[in-house]
Amino acid sequence: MSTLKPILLVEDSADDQTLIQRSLKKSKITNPIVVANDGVEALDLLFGTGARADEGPLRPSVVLLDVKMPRLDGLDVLELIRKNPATRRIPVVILTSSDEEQDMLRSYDLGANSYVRKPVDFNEFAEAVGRLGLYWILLNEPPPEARVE
Amino acid sequence: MRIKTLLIGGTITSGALVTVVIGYLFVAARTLEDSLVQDRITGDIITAIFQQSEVLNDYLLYPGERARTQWEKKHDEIEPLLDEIAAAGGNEDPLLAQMRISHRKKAESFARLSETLAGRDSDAANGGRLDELQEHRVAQVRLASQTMLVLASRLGQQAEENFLRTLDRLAWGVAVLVVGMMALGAGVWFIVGWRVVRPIAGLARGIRDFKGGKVGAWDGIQTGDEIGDVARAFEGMAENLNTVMVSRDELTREVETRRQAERQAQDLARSLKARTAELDAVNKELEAFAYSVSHDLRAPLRSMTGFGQALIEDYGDKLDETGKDYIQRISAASKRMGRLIDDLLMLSRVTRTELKRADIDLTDMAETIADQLRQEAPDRKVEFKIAPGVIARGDETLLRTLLENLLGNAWKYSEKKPRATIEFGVTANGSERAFFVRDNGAGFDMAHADKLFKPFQRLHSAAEFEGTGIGLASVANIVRRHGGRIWAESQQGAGTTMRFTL
Repeated sequence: MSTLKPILLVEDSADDQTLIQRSLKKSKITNPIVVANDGVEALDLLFGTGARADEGPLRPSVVLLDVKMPRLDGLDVLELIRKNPATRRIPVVILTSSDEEQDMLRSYDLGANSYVRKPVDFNEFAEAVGRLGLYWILLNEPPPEARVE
Repeated sequence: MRIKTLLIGGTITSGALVTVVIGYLFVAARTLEDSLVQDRITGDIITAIFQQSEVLNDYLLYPGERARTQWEKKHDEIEPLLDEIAAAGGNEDPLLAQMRISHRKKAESFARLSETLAGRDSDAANGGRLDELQEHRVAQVRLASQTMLVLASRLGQQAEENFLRTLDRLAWGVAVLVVGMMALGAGVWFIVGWRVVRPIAGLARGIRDFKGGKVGAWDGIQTGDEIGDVARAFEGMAENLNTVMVSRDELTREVETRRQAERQAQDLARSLKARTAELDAVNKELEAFAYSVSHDLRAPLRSMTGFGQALIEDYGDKLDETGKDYIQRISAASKRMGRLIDDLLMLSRVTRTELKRADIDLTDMAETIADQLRQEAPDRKVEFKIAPGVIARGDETLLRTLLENLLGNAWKYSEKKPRATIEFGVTANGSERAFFVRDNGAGFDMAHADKLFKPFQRLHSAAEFEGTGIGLASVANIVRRHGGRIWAESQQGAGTTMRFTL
C-alpha cells in the first residue's frame, strides 16, 4: 500500500485531541490523523454520509473511540460500526476516562478490540497513547479492505 | 370447744342416754313381766288355796286317804308356785317369806290334824263331829290358809302396784328419752346453727369483704374450733393471695415497663435502621462525588500539565529563562493540585471505609513501603531499621495508608540529611504497646505541635518541603478509628519520632 491508512480519532475534548495527536507524532507515527468531534461526525466519516461526506467513506487502520460524548454515545457508535458489513472488521480501541465496569463489559460485548483508560497523569497518558499508536500501526495487521459495493 | 368434740360428746351423751334409758326400759319390762307373773301366780295360789279349802272340807267330812292325798297334792302344787314367785323377782320379798312360813305351818297343822283324825276313821259315831282338839287343829289349818290367802292377795296387790308403778316409771323413762332426744336434736341444731352455719356465713361474708378489699375480713371468727381453723386458713390464704396480687401487680407493672422499653428499643432499632440507610445513601453519594472529583477535576489538570510540557518541548528555544520558569510554575501548580486532590480523596476514603480488623504484619508492610520509596529515588542513601515480627490488629488498607504517610514523611523530611536513618518498631510503654516511626530529618518546633494533625496546617513552608498538610490528618483519623492515639516528639534539626497506639 502506498498511502498510509489514517487513524480515526473520535474525541470531544479539544485539549485531549491536541495532546493525543502530539503524542502520536512524538512516537514517530506519520499516518494521517482524522479527528471527529463526536459520534455523529465519526459515522459520517466512516459511511461517507452527512456533513463530512466528502471526506469518506473512511477506512482507518484503527479507530480511537472515546465513550463519553455528546449527541451519540461512543458505545452506540461502536454498535453501528459493527452492524455495518463494510466497517465491521475495523479495529476499534476504546480510549476513555470512564471508570465504570459496565462500559468496559458493554464495549467488549459489542466487539471492541481493546479498552484503555486514559491515565490521569499526563506523562503516563502520553506514554500510553504512544504505545497504543505503535502497536496498532506497526504491529497489528488491519483487516483487508472490504469490497466497496 | 371444737365442734368435733361437741359432736363426739353429743354422740357419747346420746349413746349413754339411750343405753341408760334402754337399760332402764329393759329392767322395767322385766319388772312388768315379773309383776304380771306374780299377779297371775298369786291368783293361781289363791285359786289353789280355795280348792284346798274345799278339799279340806271334804276331808273333814270324810277323813280318808283319798282326801288327805288330794289335800297334800294341792299343797304340793302350791310349792312350785311360790318358787315361781321367787323366780319372778319376789325372792327377797318378806311377803313371800311369810307365805312360805304360812305354807309350812299349814302343812304342819294339817299333818297334826291328820294325826288327830287318823285315830278315828270314819267315826260316824260322833256323827262327824269333831272334838276340841280336832277343831283347834282345823282352825289352825284354816288360819294358815287364810293367812296365805291374805298374803297371796297382798302379794297380788303388791304386784299390781308394782306393775302400775313400773308402767309409770316406764312412761317417765320414755318421756325422758324423748325429751333427751329432743334436747340432743336441739343441741345438734344448736351446734350446726351456732357453731357451723353462722360461722360459715361469717366466712362467706369474710370472703366477700376480702374481695372488696377489706383487711382482716375473718377477724370475727376466732373460735378455737374447726371453723376457726378454716377462718385462719382463709386468713393465711388471703395473705398469700394479697402477696400474689401484689407480685402480680408488680409483675404487670414490670411487664408494662418492659413492653415500653421494648417499644422504645424497637423505635430505636427502626430509627437506627433508617439512619443507617441514610448513612449508606450518603456514603454512596460521597463515593460518587469522590469519583467524579477524582476524574473530572483531574482531566483539566492533565491538559495543563500536558500543554505546559508541550510548550517547553516544542517552543523551549523561543523562550527565555523567565518564560520557561513561568511555564514551569504552571506545571508545578497543576501537579500540586493533583496531589491535593489525591490527598483529599485519601482523607475522604479513610474516614468513610468500613474498618475490617485482621492480624497485620506491619514489618512486612513497612519493608514493602521502604522498597517503594527506594525505587522512587534510588540515589538517596537511606538506612531503614525495621523491627522484625511486628504484628498489629487492624484494617489492612487503612494501616497501609498510615504507614505510607508516616514513612513517606520520614523519607521526605530527612531528604536534606546526607545520611538518613528511618526506624520503625514497637515499644512497651508499661501496659501499652506503642508503635513508632523515627527519622533523623528536619524535625519541627514542638511549640506548634497542636497543629500537627489538623488538615492543611503545615509546620514547614512549601519551599522547604512540599506537602499538602493532609497526610497527618489522615493518619490521625486512622489511629482514632482504631481506638488509639497518636503523638509526636521532635527536635528541630535532629529528627522526629511519631508514636501511636491502636
